[in-house]
Amino acid sequence: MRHLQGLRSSRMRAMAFIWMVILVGGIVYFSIIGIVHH
Amino acid sequence: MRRFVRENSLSLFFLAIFFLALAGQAISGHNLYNEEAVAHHDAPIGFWRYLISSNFGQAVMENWQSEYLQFALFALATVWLLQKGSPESKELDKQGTESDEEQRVGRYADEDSPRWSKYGDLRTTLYSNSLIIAMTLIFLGSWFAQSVTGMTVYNQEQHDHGEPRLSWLGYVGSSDFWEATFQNWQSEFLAVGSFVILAVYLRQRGSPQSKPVGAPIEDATGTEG
Repeated sequence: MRHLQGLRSSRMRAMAFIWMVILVGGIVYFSIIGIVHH
Repeated sequence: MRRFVRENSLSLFFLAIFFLALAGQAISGHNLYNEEAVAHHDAPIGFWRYLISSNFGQAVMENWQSEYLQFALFALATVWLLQKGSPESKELDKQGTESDEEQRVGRYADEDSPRWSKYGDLRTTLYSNSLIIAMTLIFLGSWFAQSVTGMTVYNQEQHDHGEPRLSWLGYVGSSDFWEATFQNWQSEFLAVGSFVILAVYLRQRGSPQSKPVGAPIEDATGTEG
């Protein structure tokens, strides 16, 4: 049970991490595109 | 797995429709770009080339920055500003950052409180404001990305018309940049302000964004239904 709870909270952390990757990744990606004049 | 999906359905749903909407924007944006290119007797570009274009970047970033400004500002403003009767406001007697005891900070923290809420030093101050700090950084980052992609698009047009290009600082002071910025801001502020006041009088049964259906109009400030 404890193991399952740990798994679920690590999945939740993974999802929060995915959202942050989208945000930071999107900002860095488009900043570079703008800076290199694409 | 089914339990995980149910317990995280809100963020999973928005993650899915975010990608669908972004794909829709990319496809329609690419079509529009090529329609205009043909009208100007320029060569059309491929879909993948459009995805790495400043045109696409500017369109995405100007909406991102305004959303995160709105969230950061709303989280910050609701610490001190109130709206009587609105579920979006705090209770009228809780204005401000509240006591350490109410916020379970430092020596008032519980055993299962997040570690950084317990220290009572700079780390706790940082953690106490971490949501707004993150939202503000995302706002500033995407606003910067809007400025550099917008500058590239603007300068391409200037070049096509034989006009001089602008530096980044020049573009940040231009009407093109500020028109795109204010255009997005005004709609965010309108939506948030109207939601705050309409939620005093209107209800959505079962939504935490609304008061309970039977809650009195001018009472129940800061209660969820």
